[in-house]
Amino acid sequence: MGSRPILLFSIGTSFFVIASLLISSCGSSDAPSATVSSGTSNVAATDVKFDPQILNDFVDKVVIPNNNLFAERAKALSQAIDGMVKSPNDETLKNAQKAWFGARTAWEQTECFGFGPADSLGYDGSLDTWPINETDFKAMLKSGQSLTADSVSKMKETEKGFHVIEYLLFGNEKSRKHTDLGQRDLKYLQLLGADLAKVASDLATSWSKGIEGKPAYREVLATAGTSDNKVYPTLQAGAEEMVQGMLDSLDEVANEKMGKTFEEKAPKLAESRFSFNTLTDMKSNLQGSQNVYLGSFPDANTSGKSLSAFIAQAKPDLDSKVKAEFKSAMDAIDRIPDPFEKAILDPKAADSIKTTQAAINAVRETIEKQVKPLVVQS
Amino acid sequence: MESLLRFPGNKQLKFLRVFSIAVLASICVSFVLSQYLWSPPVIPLSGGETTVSNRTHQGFGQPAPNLSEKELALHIEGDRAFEATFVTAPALVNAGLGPLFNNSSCVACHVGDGRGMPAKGNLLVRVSLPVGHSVGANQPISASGTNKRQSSLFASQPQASVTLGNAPPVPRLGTQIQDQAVFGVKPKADVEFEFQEQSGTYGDGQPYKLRSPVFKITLPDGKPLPNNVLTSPRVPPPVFGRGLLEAIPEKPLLPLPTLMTTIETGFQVSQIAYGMYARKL
Repeated sequence: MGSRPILLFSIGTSFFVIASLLISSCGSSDAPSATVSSGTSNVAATDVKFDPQILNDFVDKVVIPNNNLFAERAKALSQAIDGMVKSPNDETLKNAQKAWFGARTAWEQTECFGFGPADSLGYDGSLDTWPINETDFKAMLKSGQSLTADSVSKMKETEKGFHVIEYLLFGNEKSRKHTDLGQRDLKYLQLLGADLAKVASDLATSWSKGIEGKPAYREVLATAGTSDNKVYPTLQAGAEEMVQGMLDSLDEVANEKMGKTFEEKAPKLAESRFSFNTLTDMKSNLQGSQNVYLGSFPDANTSGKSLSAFIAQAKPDLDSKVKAEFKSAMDAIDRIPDPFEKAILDPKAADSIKTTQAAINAVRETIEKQVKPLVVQS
Repeated sequence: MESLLRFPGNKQLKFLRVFSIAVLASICVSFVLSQYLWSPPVIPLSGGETTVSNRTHQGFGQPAPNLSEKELALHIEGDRAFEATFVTAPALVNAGLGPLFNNSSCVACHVGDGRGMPAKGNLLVRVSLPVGHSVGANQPISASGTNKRQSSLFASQPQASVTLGNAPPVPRLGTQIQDQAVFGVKPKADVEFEFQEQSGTYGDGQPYKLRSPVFKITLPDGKPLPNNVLTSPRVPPPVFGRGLLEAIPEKPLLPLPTLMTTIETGFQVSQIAYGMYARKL
C-alpha cells in the first residue's frame, strides 16, 4: 500500500516536469536566444511585438511627405529669388523672405530623420552648415572670380545653403533693404537658391527612389530585419534608428540651440539670427519629433501606424505620458517671447526659456529611458 | 455493497489527494528547473560598464554609460568642439580656419565619430621623401620616445602639419597635403582620384577582381607631384575608445620604466601626447 502513492507521485511529477519542459522549450524558440545585460535600461519587455508597418508608415507618411514638401518649398524659394533678381524691390524681397521661412519650416521638421542620405551623402552639410564663412564669401564677392553654377557647387559648405541665403535676404538683425544688394550679390543669391533647390530635390529622391546608384533609403529602412538588409539586420535596429533620430533632435534643441545660446547670453550663437527665426526653427524641430512619435505629417495631412500606437498597446500610461510631455514642451516654447535672439537677454523671459528647456528634456528622457527600451526589446 | 462502494470512493479520494500534491509539487519543481535550464544565457559585456548598447548611426558617438556627471559634461564639451565647423577669421563664432586645411571640422572626416570613407572630402594624402634623403636620417629614436632629428626637421618645416616618425617632410608640401584653403590662398595641391579595377585568377582557377585607387596630384604650378615623393592615402580612422586608454591611471604604471621592473614585469611604459600606455614586451 505504502509504495503506491509514491509511485503515483513520481509518475505525476515526471509527467508534469517533462510536459512543462516541453512547453517552455517550445515557447523559448521564439524568444531571443541570448540577452545582453544593459546598464542603462531596467524596463521589462512586454509581449507586444513591434509592427513592421510602423517603419513602413514612418517613411511613407512622415519622412517622404516632409522631404517632398521641403523640395517643393525650396523650389518656390529659388523661384522667388529669381523674381527678386529680375526686379529687385521691396515686394520681391519680401516674397523671397517669405519663401525662405516656408522652406525653413519644412526643413527643420526633417531634422529628426537627418540620418541616412542627409548625413552620408552630405546633403545636410550642403543645406544647413552653421556658422557661415562671411569673411570668405564677402571676399569672393568683392573679387572678380567668375560666378557660375559650377563654381558655387564647388564652394565650401560654409559658403552656401540656408544661412548664406538668409544673410543675403535678411542682413544683420533682419535689416536688409533691396538696395543693399549689388549685381554680384544678386547673382550669387540666385545660384545659391538654385543649388538649395537641387540638393533638396536630391534629398527627396534619395529616400523615395534612390540616387547615385544607391537603393532608396525608404527600402533600406522599411525592410529592416529582412535577410538581405545589411544596414538594419533586425527590425528593432531600424526602429531604434527612428527613435534615436528623435532623441538627437530633442537633445540638440534643448541643450545646444536653446541651452547653450541662453547660458552664454550670446545672440551670435542663435542659428537663424539674421532672420530672427531661431525660435520658429526650434518649434519646427519639436514638431518634427512629435510627428515621428505620432506617425503623421500634419502639413501634408498624412498619417499611419505610429510608434505611439505601439507604446499605447504595450504600456498605455507611458503613451499618455509621452503625449502629455510633448504638449507641455510645445506649450512652454510658445510662451517664449519672439525673437529668441532678444529673449535670451531679457531677464523677464528667462523663466520661460528654462521651463521650455526642462520640458523638452523631460520628454527626451522619457523616450530614452522608457520608450526606447520597449522598442529595442520588442 | 455500501462498504464496497465506499471503499473505492475513499481510495479515489486518497488517490486524488496524492495526485494533486504531486501535480503542485511538479509544477514547482518544473518552474524552478525551467528557470534554471531555459533562461537565455547572459552575454558578458565586451567593454564592461563602459559598453554602449546602441546600433544606430550614433552608436560610435555615445558616451560610456557609467560616466559621472562631471565626466559627462567633459565628454559633451569635447564632442561639441569635435563637431564645430570653423570659419575664416575674423568671425563672431569659430574663427581661425586656415589658411590651409583639409576640412573645416573634425567630424566632417571622421563621420559619426567612426571611420571615414575613401571619398573626396574624407580621405587625405600623407607625403614624405624616402628615409635617408636628408642628413641625419638614420639617427635612432631617442630613449625618451621622441625623435630629435624628426623634431628638428619638423621645426624647420613649418608646412609640416603632422610628424611622420622619421620620414623626412617634403619641401613646400610638408607631411600632409592640405588640398583646401581660405579664399585668396592657393591649396598646396589638387588631389583627385578614381578607382581602377584589376582582374586576375587565383591558383585554383577562380577569377577575382581588385579595386584600387589611382591618385592624380597636381601642384599649384600645374605640374604633377615628383616621382621621388612617397605618398600614403589615409582613410580617417574611428575616434572612439581613446577614453578607455585615458581611464587607465598613471600611478600604477609610473614605477614600471625602471630597468628592474621592466625585466620583472615584461612591460614598457611609453608616454604619448594623449596620455600613457603600457606595452607588453
